[in-house]
Amino acid sequence: MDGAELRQALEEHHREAWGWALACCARHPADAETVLQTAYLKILEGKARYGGASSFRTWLFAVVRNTASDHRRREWLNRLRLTRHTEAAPPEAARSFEDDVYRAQVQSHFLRALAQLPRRQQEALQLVFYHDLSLAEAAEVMHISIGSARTHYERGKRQLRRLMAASGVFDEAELGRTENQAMVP
Amino acid sequence: MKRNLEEQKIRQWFREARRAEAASAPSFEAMLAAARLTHHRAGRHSNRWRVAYAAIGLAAIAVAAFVFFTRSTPPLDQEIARPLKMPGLPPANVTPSRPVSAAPPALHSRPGRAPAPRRKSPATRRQPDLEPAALLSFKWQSPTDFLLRTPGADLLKTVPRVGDSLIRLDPIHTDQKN
Repeated sequence: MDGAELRQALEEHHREAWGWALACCARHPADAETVLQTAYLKILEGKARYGGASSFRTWLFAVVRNTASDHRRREWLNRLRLTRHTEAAPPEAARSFEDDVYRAQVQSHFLRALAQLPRRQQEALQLVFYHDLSLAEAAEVMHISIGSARTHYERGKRQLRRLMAASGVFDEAELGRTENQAMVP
Repeated sequence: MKRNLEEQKIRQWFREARRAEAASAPSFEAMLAAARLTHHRAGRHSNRWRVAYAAIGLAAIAVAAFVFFTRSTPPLDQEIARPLKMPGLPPANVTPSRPVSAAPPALHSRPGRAPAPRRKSPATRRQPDLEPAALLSFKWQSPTDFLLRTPGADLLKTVPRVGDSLIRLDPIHTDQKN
């Protein structure tokens, strides 16, 4: 792929890459922006090269994930020198007058529950449900075997369901019903 | 059935999150421009640090080399010129193999006048002044060396020849009257 093709492919996958960068950075927009910028530069400068062994999206997600991992490591070293950084809760879903209040509250609970999952489980769920990747593609992005990816996926689903039920928004007893409206103010 | 419903719910939550985050995503062009600007600044900053580290390293090497060479041992001539002193023993018998040259010329002597006698410090009066060259073949002998000479020691140093006798006989003079 030459420079122009690479740039066009990056622009096509930009929104998906942004969502994935957010997931890799615990949904901190500033960190996600830094990570995505670094990943784009790596790709355009040739430091990360697309070999064609997998789909472009899978390869791009792997680059973003590795860049986020490096960024986390550097931030951890910075924290040793600077004041202790407290993990902020993920931002609540934006509430405007057009948005349904109930849906915004559910989203807020959902993002908090997702943040409590182990990293690998978060990544597996994000790749499968958010980005519509198969388990094999998700395993490739995460650099693990398909069996491990399936384990993280199943455990993540189970844990997420429990956390949402514990928050009172999601009624685990009857999945056929909608969420528990009584818990919503 | 239950599993499908569960997955549908999770997928719905993720879709909501995706919709909200896609709306807040920065544009591709703006992100690329910001990335290049940040990278350019970081590159200049890192170049300054590289130059600083290189300068510090060179300075450290220069200081280490200076200290090493200034503290090196003095040359051999200076070591030989020092007078030999054996603590606790009487002055040794000095047997230089080379003849001692004439007394060194006195320093700061005026032309036409005999050189003034050199005053010797008490520490150096006992020992003769020797030129450094004479000390190169200096062979020291112990004052109690004679105690180690045993009779018949010549036998160990010479090779006997056939016909030689180890018994020494004084010659008899035939002109003596009986």
